[in-house]
This record gives sequence, structure tokens and C-alpha cells, in this order.
Amino acid sequence: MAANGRDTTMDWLIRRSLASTPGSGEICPGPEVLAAYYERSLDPSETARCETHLSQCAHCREQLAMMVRAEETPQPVPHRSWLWDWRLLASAAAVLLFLTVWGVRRSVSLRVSSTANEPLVAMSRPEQTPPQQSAPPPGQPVEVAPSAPHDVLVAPQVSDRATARARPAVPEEPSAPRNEIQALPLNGRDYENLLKVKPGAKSANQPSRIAGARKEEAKSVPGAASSPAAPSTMSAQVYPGMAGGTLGAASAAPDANETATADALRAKQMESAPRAKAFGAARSGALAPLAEQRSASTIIQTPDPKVMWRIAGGDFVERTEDGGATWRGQVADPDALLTSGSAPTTKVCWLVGKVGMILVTKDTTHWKKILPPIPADFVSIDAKNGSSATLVAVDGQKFSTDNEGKKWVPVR
Amino acid sequence: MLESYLETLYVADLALAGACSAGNGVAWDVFVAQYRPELNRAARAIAGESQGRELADSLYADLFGLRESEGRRKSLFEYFHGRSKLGTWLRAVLAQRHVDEMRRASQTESLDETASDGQQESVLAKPKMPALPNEAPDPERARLLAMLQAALMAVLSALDSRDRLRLAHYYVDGLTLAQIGKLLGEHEATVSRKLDRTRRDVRKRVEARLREKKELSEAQLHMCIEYAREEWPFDLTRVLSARD
Repeated sequence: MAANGRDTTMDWLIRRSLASTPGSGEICPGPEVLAAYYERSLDPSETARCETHLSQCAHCREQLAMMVRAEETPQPVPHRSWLWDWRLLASAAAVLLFLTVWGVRRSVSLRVSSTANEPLVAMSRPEQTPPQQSAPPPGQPVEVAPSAPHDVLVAPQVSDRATARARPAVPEEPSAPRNEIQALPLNGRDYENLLKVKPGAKSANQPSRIAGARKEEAKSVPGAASSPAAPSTMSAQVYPGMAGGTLGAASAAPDANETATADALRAKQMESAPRAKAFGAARSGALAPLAEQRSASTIIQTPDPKVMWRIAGGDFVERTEDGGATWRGQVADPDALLTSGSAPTTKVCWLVGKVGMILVTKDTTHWKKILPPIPADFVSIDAKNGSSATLVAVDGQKFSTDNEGKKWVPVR
Repeated sequence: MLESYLETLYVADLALAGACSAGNGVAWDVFVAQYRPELNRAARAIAGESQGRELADSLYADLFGLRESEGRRKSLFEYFHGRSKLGTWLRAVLAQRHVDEMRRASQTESLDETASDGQQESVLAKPKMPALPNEAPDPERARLLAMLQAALMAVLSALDSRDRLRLAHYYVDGLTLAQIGKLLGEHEATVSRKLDRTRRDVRKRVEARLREKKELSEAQLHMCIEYAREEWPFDLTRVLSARD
């Protein structure tokens, strides 16, 4: 007989012999001892006695076999255990880390490019504290309080398309340190004189006056020509103020040329300037219209002359409570391209923009998006309070609401 | 010695069991939260889905102490003395109950079965054994088989209990090498090596015993094995009775 056959036979014989072996005759140990033996917590003598019994008692061995099989039986998988799979978590963590690093680097690069000219919180020189401004009577131009940061924020270069609002090109100083900003020759009063616009006067006159003022400035102060753009860019764009300190289109039917120019500027802005750079420094001529637009319709007056809002470009809005000495900014809505606003109180502010953007805040911090009456670009809004407002679309249509935009009614 | 004994106790589990036995509500909340799911899982693993549920519920009721003895509620927790983890003890109790139930069921079935025309025998009571041939071609067959079986039993009895237990776990209980290693505290490779050594040792001793004590020749020894391959199964008692 082959050795393998003999071994197989012997295995079978052993199995049969052990299975048919009568018990030891001893009393079987209880679950307490079996459990302790299972965990090998019995002392050596107890272990030996237990093993002797077990080697002869199929009943006790059967229990042990069940215990070891029950322990090895896998637990039921929870419904969402796949969420805690380490591989999935590791992959998600890696992706999250990559996005975080990419986002940080991107924001850092943007800040580096905008830091020199576009501080988010700007300080003005003490001697240039803007004068107290009250709400101008209807028809009077809105005087924009000048401040040094505007000098820094404004991108001087203007495209050829900006005719009515053209201003002389001033070399930009993106790297101009703040001490140079401090050395602006003109004080606030000078700017006031420059900015005052008689009612009905065309804004086209402004650039020449400003240009003339600049020439005089350049003559009197060396290096002044290289200084950042004067806030005349703001002044050139003043519109007759509306009641409640609003800033927007002068009338329901603005001048056609100006409207076309504004549209052209906005169109070019949309094509060339990424929204992320909207409130950054103006690096090229493509960004100039954006700066001009911002400077033109930036300031939103409130009943309190010290409290103002300012659209800093794109989705960014700033607010001051000290008359422009310091500004605190925030992103009103990441999808917004803001163009105008209205602040009927110091806490309430309505903002409108392109593509049906309407925002309102009642606590100066949290912005609520309002559904528009039509999906159009809005150019101005006149708000009475946090619930009532009248907005004007780019095509001249007017809509009003008195329930915070839940329902808009056309106004003729 | 007492100190070493006390050090082996699972005091936390013992305290929990004692508090549950005393009817402490907080302790029961802890026990239900920590052990009820494990209890259910172990019961299903031991007795299957349907019977496992019943097994777990029955044990849970006894742990709670639905039975009364001498006018007071008696909890199964009173039998836990902390010599093992509470979870292991619960598994041991489940296994014991299920094995007892199975044996009780098999005995009941063997008693319930009735032989028809005197030929049918219980299938579950003991393995079906072919009748010994009254007129075997080789008259030595029965004697050789009996000697072989006796030698085997003697050799197995003389084995170290641990080696014997290892063999029993493998050949009778059907456990894997890893499971045996877990029970005996050995590595899987160690179990395999020792099993192989023990099996070879048993074979050598059986053959040596048959040669020396029974004075069998090689040819007779060969016949022993051949007859053992053909005979399935055989009962030592019947063989010994026939011989006598």
C-alpha cells in the first residue's frame, strides 16, 4: 500500500477513534471555566486539567468550537460603513489638501498683486479727513468725499472708448509705498472745488477742468505727475443725487451716448477682467473701465454722512462708519457684478448689478439675494427701507416692491 | 496565590454583572448598549438566523432574571465570577445552551423514530454500522481489526492531553489550524507542525505495538490497514463482543 494511502487510512482511523471515545466520566466544566480557558486566564494546573477533560469530552469541545467560530463571524456591515473606508477617507483628504493649498496660493498671489494699490481696509491721512457731508438736495450733484485710498485704488489708464468720462492718463504706481501716498499735494478742499458740478452741467466738461487742474498741480509740485490718479475720476462721474443718498443713473432715460459708452465699458470689462481682479490693482488698460465704473458709482450715501457704502468692484462692497477714514469690506455675493446701490438707513443697504442681481442687508453683514422681476442688468435702485425699493433696469424698465422683493410691480 | 487569582479577575465586568444582577437601571443601560448587539450576533453565528434570535432572547431573559427562586428574582449574572470577560462568558453560555439543545433534539428524534419491519434503525443515534460478516472470507479479519482498534485506542490514550486535544480539534471538531491555534495559544504553523508530528508518532506507535505485543508480521500488519480501509465504521464494543 502506498504511504499516502496508509497515512490517509491512519487519519481516518484516528478520527474515528477519537469520535467514538467514551467520555472521561468527569463533570464537565461550566461556562465560567470554559470561558476562562478560552481566554487562557486559568492557572497552569487548571489549564492542564481542563485540557485533559477536553481531549476526552466531545461535548465540551463542541462548545469551544462554537465559541471560536462565533467570535470569527464578521459583524454585519453598517449601512454607511463605506464612508469610513480608510482608502476613501485618504483620497478625500488628499483632494481636500490639494484644493486648500491651491486656493491659498491663488489667494496669496492675488493679494500680492493687489496689496500695493488695493488695500481692503484703507486708511486716509488725518489731514485729509473728508468734510462732513449731508444728503444733497435733489438735483444737486453728489459730492464724493475724497480720500487717499481712492488715489491708490483707482487705475488711471482709460481706454479710448471712454469719451465723456475721459480723463488724462496718469501713470500707475502699483508699487507706490504708502509714504508717497501721504505726500499728495492736494488736500480735500482742493478736491472739493474740483468736484463740484453745477446742476445740468455735462460731465464732459469735467475732464478738461480736471486735466487743467492736474497740469497746474504738475507744475507746482515736482513728481506730482507720477502720483497716483487723483480722485477726480470719482468726481467726473457724479450724478445728480437722488433722495435718500442714492447713487445711480441721473434719470430714467440717461443720455444715450453715455449709456452706450457705459455699456461698452462694462462689456469690455466683462470680457477681459477676471472677476477675481475686480477689486485688485488695475494692471492694464483693460481694467481701467472697471476702475472707472467703480469710482463712478461706488459711493452709496446713507442718512448719516459718516456712514457710507462703496462698491469696490465685482462682488466686493465696503462700508465706512467714520466718513471714509476706514473701510471694512466683504463679498456681498460671489456671483455678483454690482453696479449700484441704495442705503435708506445706516443698517439697510440694497445693491443691484448685472444679470438680475439684487441684494439687501439689514444688519450690514448678511446679504440676502432677492429674486429679480426680470433677468436683466440693473443700473440703479432707490430704497425707502429694508422692504420697499424701486429698481431700474438697463433698458429703462422700473419695478417696485414693498415686501422685500417677494413681489415686483412694474412702474410706469 | 490569592493575589495572583485576584489579579486575573475582570473587575469591571464583574462589577457590571453584579450591578445588573442587583437590578441597577444604569448598569442595565450600559449592558444593553455594550453587550446586547454582541449577544445577538454571537447567537446568530452559533445557531443561525432564526434560532439565534430565540437563543439570544432566552439568554437575555435569564440574565434579567425572569425566574424566581425562593421568592426572589434570580439572575444568570450571579454565575459570572469575573474569571473571564463578560462577552466571552456570554458566548460560552450561548454555546452550552445550543449544544445541549442539539443533543436533546437528537435524542428526542432517535426516540421518536419507529423501526419499520424491524430493519430500520435510527440514523442519528449512532452511525450506521454494517453488520459484521458472519462468514468473512478471512477468519482473521475481525481479530486483526480488533487488534488495530485496541492498539490505536491505547496509543491515543497515552498521548499528551494537549496533543490529543489538538488531534481532536482537528479530526473530530473540524476546526481550522488558525482556530486551533487560537484555542491553544499557538501559531497556526506550530499547530500544523505538531499535528503532523503527532500523527506520524501515532502511526509509528500503533505499528510498533502491533508488531511487538501482537507479534504481527508485516503482511498481517498490511492486512490490518487494508481491512480498516474497507470497514466503515466499526464499533470497538461490537468487535470486542464478537471476539469474546
